[in-house]
Amino acid sequence: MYDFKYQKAASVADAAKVIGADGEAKLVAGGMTLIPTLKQRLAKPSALIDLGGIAELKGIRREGNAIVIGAMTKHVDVANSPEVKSAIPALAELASHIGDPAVRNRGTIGGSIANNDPAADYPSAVVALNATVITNKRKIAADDFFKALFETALGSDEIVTAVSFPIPEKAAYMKFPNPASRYAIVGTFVAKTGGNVRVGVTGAGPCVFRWKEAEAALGKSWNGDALKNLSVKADGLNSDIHASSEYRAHLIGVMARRAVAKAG
Amino acid sequence: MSAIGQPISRTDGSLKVTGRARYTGDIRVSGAVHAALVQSTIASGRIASIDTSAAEEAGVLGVFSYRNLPRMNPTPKPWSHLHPHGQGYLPLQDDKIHYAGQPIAMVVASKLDQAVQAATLIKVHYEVAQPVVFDADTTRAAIDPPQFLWPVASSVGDADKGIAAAAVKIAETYATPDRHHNQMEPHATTAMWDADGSLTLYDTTQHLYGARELIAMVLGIPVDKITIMCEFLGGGFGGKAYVWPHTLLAILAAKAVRRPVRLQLTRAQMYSMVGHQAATIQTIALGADNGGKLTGIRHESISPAPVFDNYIEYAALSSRSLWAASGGIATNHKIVHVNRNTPTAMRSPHEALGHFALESAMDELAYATGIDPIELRLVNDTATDPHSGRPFSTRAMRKCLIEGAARFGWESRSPTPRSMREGRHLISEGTAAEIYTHWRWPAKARVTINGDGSALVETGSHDLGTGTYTVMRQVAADTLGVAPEKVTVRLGDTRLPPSHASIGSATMANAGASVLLAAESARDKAIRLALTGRDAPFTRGQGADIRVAEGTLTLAHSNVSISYGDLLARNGLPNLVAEADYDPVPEHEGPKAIFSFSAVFAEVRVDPELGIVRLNRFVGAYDAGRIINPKTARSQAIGGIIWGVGQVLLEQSETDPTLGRFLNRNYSGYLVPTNADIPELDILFVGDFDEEASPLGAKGLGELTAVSVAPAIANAVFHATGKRIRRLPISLEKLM
Ligand SMILES: Cc1cc2nc3c(=O)[nH]c(=O)nc-3n(C[C@H](O)[C@H](O)[C@H](O)COP(=O)(O)OP(=O)(O)OC[C@H]3O[C@@H](n4cnc5c(N)ncnc54)[C@H](O)[C@@H]3O)c2cc1C
Repeated sequence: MYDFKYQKAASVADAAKVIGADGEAKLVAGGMTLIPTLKQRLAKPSALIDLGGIAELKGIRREGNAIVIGAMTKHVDVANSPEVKSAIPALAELASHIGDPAVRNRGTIGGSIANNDPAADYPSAVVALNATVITNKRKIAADDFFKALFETALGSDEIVTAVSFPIPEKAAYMKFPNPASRYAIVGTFVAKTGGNVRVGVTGAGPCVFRWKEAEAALGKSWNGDALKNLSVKADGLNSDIHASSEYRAHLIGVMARRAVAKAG
Repeated sequence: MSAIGQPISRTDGSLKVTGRARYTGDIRVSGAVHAALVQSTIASGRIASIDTSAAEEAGVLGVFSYRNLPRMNPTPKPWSHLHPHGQGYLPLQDDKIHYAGQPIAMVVASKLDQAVQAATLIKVHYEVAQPVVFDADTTRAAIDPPQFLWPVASSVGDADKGIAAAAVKIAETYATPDRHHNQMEPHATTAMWDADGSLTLYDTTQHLYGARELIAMVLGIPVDKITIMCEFLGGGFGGKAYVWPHTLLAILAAKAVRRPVRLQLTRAQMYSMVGHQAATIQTIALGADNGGKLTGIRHESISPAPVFDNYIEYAALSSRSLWAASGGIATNHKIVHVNRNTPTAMRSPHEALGHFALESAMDELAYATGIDPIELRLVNDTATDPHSGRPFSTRAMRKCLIEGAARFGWESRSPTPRSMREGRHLISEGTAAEIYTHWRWPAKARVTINGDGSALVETGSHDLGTGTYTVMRQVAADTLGVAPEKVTVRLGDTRLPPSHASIGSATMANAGASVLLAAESARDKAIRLALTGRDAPFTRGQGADIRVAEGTLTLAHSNVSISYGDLLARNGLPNLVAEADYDPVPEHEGPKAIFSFSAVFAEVRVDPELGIVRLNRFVGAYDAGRIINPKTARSQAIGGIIWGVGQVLLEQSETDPTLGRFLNRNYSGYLVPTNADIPELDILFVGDFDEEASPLGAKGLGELTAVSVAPAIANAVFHATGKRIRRLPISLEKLM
């Protein structure tokens, strides 16, 4: 780890001011991704601005037909939240299977989506539920938020403050976890909201994506069998020692069918 | 009651679970300083330049490279397994790079983080050569290696003729991948020199005396000036039997900086600083008549070795002796020199690789002939070792197959692949048999009977986590006629009577025999005292008339008795000491062929959509001779089965094909089974006392239990899916 300054931000505005002024400063949320990166000397920020003390970033509330989750809400709190469990049980379940207990007790939803790891779980839910990412500057639609490998629409002094998830009629998430980290080798989130079907796929490609053929098929008939004849091309998908791109392509279909069955 | 045969719990169990057992890395020597290594990032070439100046200026005690590390004596040629007990290429002696991760520099500093930091300041420029890796191309240039264990090739009868004339033939190629031991405990060494030139080492070793011999040889130190200690080992599995470069480096560093030096490998370093199991490519041809009787076996194997040593994975070894083949049996081994460090024994070396091929091929033969796999093996059972022509000392193969099958419920199996289902899962059953080498090695031990009726066993054997402390206590307790709690066992120190390497599942039978003989000798000394010593209590009779139990000697048909304590006091002796030198003829020179045997049975559940194989249940029936402690023996079996599950389903050290380095150098990339992967395991011991194997009647067990897990599960996978996987591990995608 290289040396850095540490500062606890009092408010979102305060944090935005610091990172706006110092391009080398970095926000830290749960630190579950950022700290290991620092340890491996893959990043050399001048300062860490800790979002942990900002009350306005925490908490889960229902707003009309949506569940709004503050950026600094930990995975464990989403997993255990009565509001989330009753309104979007698939989201609570997703959170309950992120990493291990240590990761769930530190990691946050804001950190997860801002980081946009290709194998992270939340991005699939954000995309499939057509959530809105709320920042200190604007509201960003899910489809516009995740750009590429570890890349989002966030500007350099932009801070995620919350994510608003419309409550679906049906939803479920199935993941094939990495045997060690539990990150998604492939995770498929299926959701039907206001009659619209969306399928978010994580782990398979460089960035979360929607499987539009599956959405169309499920839109006609909400049934796993509707996907039987669909397949995803392996070209451009991730490949590593745990799974080739061909196997990942195959997994997308299996996980999607199982998710539809689970959603009921 | 006899202690032998009782399921006694580990005597060191509470030390271990309370964290009081001192493993090598835990030992803090006052004034010790720390070494950190710099390893080659290329796999082949030479060091063009190395700049250590920044590291030297970082307030460290010493910086070493080939330019300033003292020269060592070369290891003897030809390279052999038993001499010199280690990698032939010695560290920091020249500018050559033979493998990725080769140590090329070392920093010693007062604090570990200081040493690690300074090591990052060393700048190396390489002249890079294209590394040779083990692949389809390079195997074509395989060579015939010199022998280092068993003969490299064998031929009995005319295997090819037997196969050519057969009604049913199987000819297939099987492959096993590179694997690493991944012991929980990393290799560690602390080296200290005394003013008089004597060297004391705490070292993670399963071969104290081999380590001492090699260190003496290459560093030019008299053997009697070297003391090595290893009280507890956190897993060896063969990987701690050789002396690896870091141990030599720690010793030389300690000499140079005149302080004790501690060097512990990181998890990633354990992928290149110490040995591994080399991959094999094996071809098997079987011929059989329509009744399944084998008419010929040909088994050949190719494996990689480093450019500087001729290590052989003897994968075809077991095919020499497992089954009879009327026409003949031929085997051969070749190696390919590639850029990697020296492989080494890994549970269960040779056998667990070869059995995957042979016992998979036997399953293929069972399907080709339509004969039940158990029946097929019964048909080919033999009382004579086909290789040496000697009768087996004991061979309970039939019992293993029949009793194991009954326990498993084999007869309800439907033989057709894909015929058994449970929901979306395919259910299936597979079996395999095994044979495992038995070693007869010399060992010494000392037993002391103390005035308070307690006893001390001392032998330079090791406890790898296998239970040596416990079983030696049982052997001595029974022989001396004292309660097991009265016996203390000391192991793991070269100042004790020398024993053999704790490899080859040989400890119970051989080190155990030396303890048995020393205890018998101590007891006999006591009996002689009771008959002829001062105020001898027994005025008539002879040795055979005297029984010892509960620490008391009693004359037969009398009520005259005396405790060990009283006997010693009466003779004015503080204790009675006896030593034994167990020096058996080597197995291959004996009149009988000695092997352990087993038959194992696996039920698996396959998710056909995902290719996931899960073990549902497992039965193992083992003939390891007489079982000294059913509890520690069962633990060995459980560990062996889990080890085999790793081999067949998960483990694979991946090599970068262009850079020639191992890639997945930690537990997140190198998968081993966890508790969630393992169901209830059912263990049966069906063997009897084998007097040829050991005066204790015991044969080797530990490695036997890991031998045929892979083919049993692979055969079950075929039964489930109709897919024959001939290349391990059976990873998900191979079933798609
Ligand atoms: C062993 C292990 C296993 C894991 N397994 C999984 C898994 O199974 N599934 C999964 O999805 N994830 C997994 N993770 C990742 C985990 O969920 C992290 O919590 C998450 O990726 C980052 O969240 P964080 O709060 O720790 O963010 P940090 O590490 O603190 O920050 C990550 C990045 O986001 C930025 N950032 C943080 N908060 C904000 C914000 N509000 N606005 C703008 N930028 C922000 C930071 O500047 C930094 O660049 C695992 C992590 C580990 C260490």
